[in-house]
Parts: sequence; C-alpha cells; structure tokens
Amino acid sequence: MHRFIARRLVQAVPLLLGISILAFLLLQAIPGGPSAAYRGMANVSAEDLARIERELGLDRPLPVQYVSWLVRFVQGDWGISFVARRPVLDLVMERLPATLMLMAAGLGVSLLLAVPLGIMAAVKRNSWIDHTLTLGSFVGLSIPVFWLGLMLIVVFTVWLGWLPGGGIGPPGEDPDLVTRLRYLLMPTVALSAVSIGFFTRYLRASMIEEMNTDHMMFAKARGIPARRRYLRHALKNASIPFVTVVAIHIPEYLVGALVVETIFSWPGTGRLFWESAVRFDYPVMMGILVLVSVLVVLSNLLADVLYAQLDPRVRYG
Amino acid sequence: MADVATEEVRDQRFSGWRAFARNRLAVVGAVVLLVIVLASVFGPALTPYDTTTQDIPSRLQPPSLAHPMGTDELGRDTLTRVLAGGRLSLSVGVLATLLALSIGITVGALAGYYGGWIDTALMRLVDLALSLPDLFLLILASALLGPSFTTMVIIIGLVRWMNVARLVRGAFLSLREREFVAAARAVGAGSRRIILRHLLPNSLSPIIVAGTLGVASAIIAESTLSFLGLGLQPPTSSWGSMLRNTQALIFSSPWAPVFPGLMIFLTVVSINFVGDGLREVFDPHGATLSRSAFHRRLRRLLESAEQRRSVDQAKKTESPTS
Repeated sequence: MHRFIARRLVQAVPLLLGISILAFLLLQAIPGGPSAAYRGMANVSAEDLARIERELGLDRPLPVQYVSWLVRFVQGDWGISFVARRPVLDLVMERLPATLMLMAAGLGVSLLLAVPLGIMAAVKRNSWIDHTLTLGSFVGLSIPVFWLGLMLIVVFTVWLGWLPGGGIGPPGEDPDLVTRLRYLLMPTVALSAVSIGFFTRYLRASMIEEMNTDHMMFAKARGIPARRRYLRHALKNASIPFVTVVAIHIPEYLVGALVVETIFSWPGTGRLFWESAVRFDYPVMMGILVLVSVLVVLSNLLADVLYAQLDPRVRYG
Repeated sequence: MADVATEEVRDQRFSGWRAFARNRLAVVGAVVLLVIVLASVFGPALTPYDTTTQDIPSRLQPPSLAHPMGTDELGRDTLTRVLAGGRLSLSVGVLATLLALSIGITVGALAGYYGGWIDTALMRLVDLALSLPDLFLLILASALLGPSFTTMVIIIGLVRWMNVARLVRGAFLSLREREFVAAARAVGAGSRRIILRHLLPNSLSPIIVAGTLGVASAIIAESTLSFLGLGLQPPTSSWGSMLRNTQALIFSSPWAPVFPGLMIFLTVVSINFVGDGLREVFDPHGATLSRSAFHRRLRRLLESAEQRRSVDQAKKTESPTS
C-alpha cells in the first residue's frame, strides 16, 4: 500500500511541476512584471528598485528565474501582496481556516442528505419518490450557486429576518456555538445544493447497477430480507465508486466556496481571491491558484488511494 | 441498394426521435428552451419599452401588468432587459462552446489518431488543464485581459475543451482499428481524409451530447463571472450582470433578483434535460460515461486498475515458468 501511494505521489510530480511552470509564466504576464509590487512604494527609489530586481534575479534568463522562483515558493516565500503590502502566504493562511470550515460543513451536509436520498431513489426505483428525487437532483445540479445564495438572503434575512445575511459571526465578539451555526447555515446550504444533486444521482445509479447483479439475485433467492440485501450487499459494493467520486468532487467545493464566500462576505480564501481580482492583486491570486491546484492533485490522489484500498480487486504493486 | 440504406437511416433517425420523445423531461426541456431562445431573439422588439430608456418616477416598481417583472433602479423595464440579456448570455454560451468544441476535437483527434508521443504529450496537457479549477482561472484571465464579450467567449472556450478532447480521443482510439478505416487507407485515403471523412463523422454522438451540456456550463460560467463583476460590464447586461445590480437592491426591492436568476436556472435546467435525453438516444446503455469530469476520471481510474490487474496476472502466469 505504501508503495502504491509513493508511486502515485511520484506520478503527481510532473503535474505539479507543470502547474508551477504555468503559474510562473502567468506571473510574467502581469502588467509591470514580478517586481510591480515594489514600484508603487513611496520609499523605494529607482536605485532600490534596480537593486531589488537584481536580488530577485530579474536580470537573469527565464529558466534560471523559474528555478529560483520555485525554490522560494516551496520555502514559503510567495511574494508580497500589491494591496496589503504583506507576504502572500500570511494572507492566505489567515483566510484558509474559514474556507476549510465551510467546505467541511458543505461536504458533511451533502453526504448526510444525499446518501439516504440516493438509497431511497434506488430502492423505490421508478416510483413517484424516485421521480421527485430525480427532478430535485436536476434542480440542485442546475441552480446557479450565486442565485441560490441571493434568494436565501432575500427570504431568510430580508423577508423573514431569521438569519444573518453575511459574515462569519457578529463583529467584535467571540460568538457561541449557536450563533456560529446561524452564520454558517445559509452559506452551507448554498454550497451543498449542487453536490446533493450530484451525489444523489450518482449513488442511485451505482446502487441500481449493484442491485441488478447475479449475486443480488442469488441473495434474494436465498431469502435474505430486502433491508439487509440493500444495505449490507448493494450499498457496500456501491459505496466503493461512490467514495471515490466524493473524493474527486472535493475541488468543486473550492470553486463553490469562491462564489458562496463572495455573496455571504465569508472571510475565506475564495473571497480573498475575488477581492484580489477586483484590485488586480496578482501575487495573491497566483498563490491561491497554485494552492488550489495542489489541492486538486491531492484529492485525485486521495481518490486513487481510497479506491485501491476499498476495492479488493484492485492490487497495488 | 441505396434505397435500403436510406430507409435504414430514416428508420434509425425515427427511432432516435421516438426515444427522445419518450423522455418527457427532455421534451419539456426542449420546449422551454425554444421559448427562451425565441423570446430572447424577438422579445426585446415586441415589448413596448426598450432596454435603455430611463423612467425615474417609476423606478423600483414591483411586478405589475405594465411591467410583468417590475422596473429597476433607473425605471427601466426588467422584462425587456431580461430578454435582451438572454441574447448575450445565450450567445456567449453557444460561441464559447463552439470554441471549446473546435479545440477539443482538434486535440482529441490528433491524440487519438496518431497515438504515441503525440497522444502522451497532449493527454498530459489535458491533465494539467484539468488540475486548474476553471473558475479561478477564468477570474484570473478576466482580470489580466480586461472583461469584454470577446474575452468572455475566448476564456470560457479555453477552459472547457478538455472534456471533448478526451471523448474524441477515446472514440478515435476505438474506431481507428476498424475495418472501414483500413479499407479507406487501402484505397489510398490520406490521414486528413480518414480523420475528417471517416473517424470524425462516426464520433459525433458523444460530441453532440457534450456540446449540448457544455452550453449550460458555459452560461453558468459567464453569469458567475458577470455576477462577480468580472464579466460583461454595464451597459451591456447579461443575466449575471443584472443579478449583480440587484444585489444592492434586495432591501428596497426583494423581487428584483428573482427574474434574471430564474432565466439562468430555467435555461440551464432545460439544456441539462435535453442533453440527458440526447444521451439516452445516442447511447442507450450508458456505454460512454460522458456526463462529467467525475465520470471521466472514474473511468480512467477503473481502466488503470484494469491494466494493473492484467499486468499482475501476466506476472503470475510468467512466474511459474521462470
């Protein structure tokens, strides 16, 4: 198993290098170039700028620049924000916990709802329950996240006045758990709608595929009760591709979180990315882009490992 | 002989149409979509208002007979603007998808037909492109290039071709070993002719399904960007940019965000229903899992597991003799 994980990690290296090259080239495309951060500073003279450019190695050939940039990036030197004038890594790390919290809540809610719904749709296939759930899944899959968020605010904040319309908590105090959850609720719902629809559809399909196999027929012939057949036999096998798909789906939460955080003023990395885009703060955007891409590669890796771990037919060698 | 062939083709088309018509959701989707397209094309000319005339005294009116969707903060009729916005949203969606299709088909055809190092290189490029989450890339590109209609079409097209490339490559890989390709080559057809006249026409069904669903996701991409203020800029208003404007009005006119969003939702859900119906027609047994990135990755995973297994088995059968 360790060898399998190690091999997958090694296979991911060229991809990560590709991402870093792309990010580096994009950095070159920025108006003003990589040293643009220092250009606006009042106390930086022309000589200082030349010295900084020399220190950053901007007078050397591009491949050399790339290698030194990569070394600095890996060491945690992600450059300086044009706007905040602070190290990019610090800015991103400050915002990361809020995003991870939102993503965890979204993933949890999606699974809690989609797993029972998917099983129900598969077991009651072609009934009105199944048709309703199919329609509901399509609605969830097609509803634009930003519109759902906006409508939630209109109904629950403007109209009913039940929930706060944005932010992570009341400003200036340390909120208790209930208050935290009240702030978390609407962003979580908006974030999980698409995934609930997707997971429900997927689990339904893989459950139905399992239920049509010969061994399920045999289990029925042996007189194993339906409940046990569905949950112990079909679900167990159907959960193998399902778990893998959930792992592959994790990056979708990052994309969703960007939109949700922007609407609900949630202080996460997604909102930071948007704020940076509006203010043309390229170093911050680049840092987040690389971070997010690494997360994508890691969740694909996680999916591979989970699949190999769960499916005894897959050998890792 | 020729008659029999055309008869068969007609028969196939007919049964395809019947299969589509049996899927009630797909038919409803097609009708709703047609209505939305027609209303967006002809609608703005039919309403008694135009998109720019301001009428400050009647600003922020709730929906009424005179203004079925109310008026905005400058007294402009929301219905007229929603219909005009539809033109923009739909054209960005269609044009971006066409661009994505042409890149994807080219890359997939080259990889699938030539194989070897070309295939490896192009597929690594696809892997790389897939590991950059599209919305982040779109926002960065929009900030770098400056938002406009053309920028929207180009950048959305540039982040959505990978799916099609994989599908076309897969279809080409399975088709290129078939007898009719060998026959074409035997009578002297060049690579260009084989790709364009033999392989591509036989790979159309997954492309059509992916293209249909692609329009929905391109519309979502454009409206997300415009909603975030990084897409189409006023006075050109797509559904997404209209929604952005209503964000500031939710306390004074809470109905304002309903209609532009509803249009996006109805369009996207209709396209998804139609795409689903088309897939059932082209691929009744679900042989090509073209639904989404997740299926593709899953299938690749299963394939690589399959490969590993066969390698293991090969090792096992080898080992007793060695």
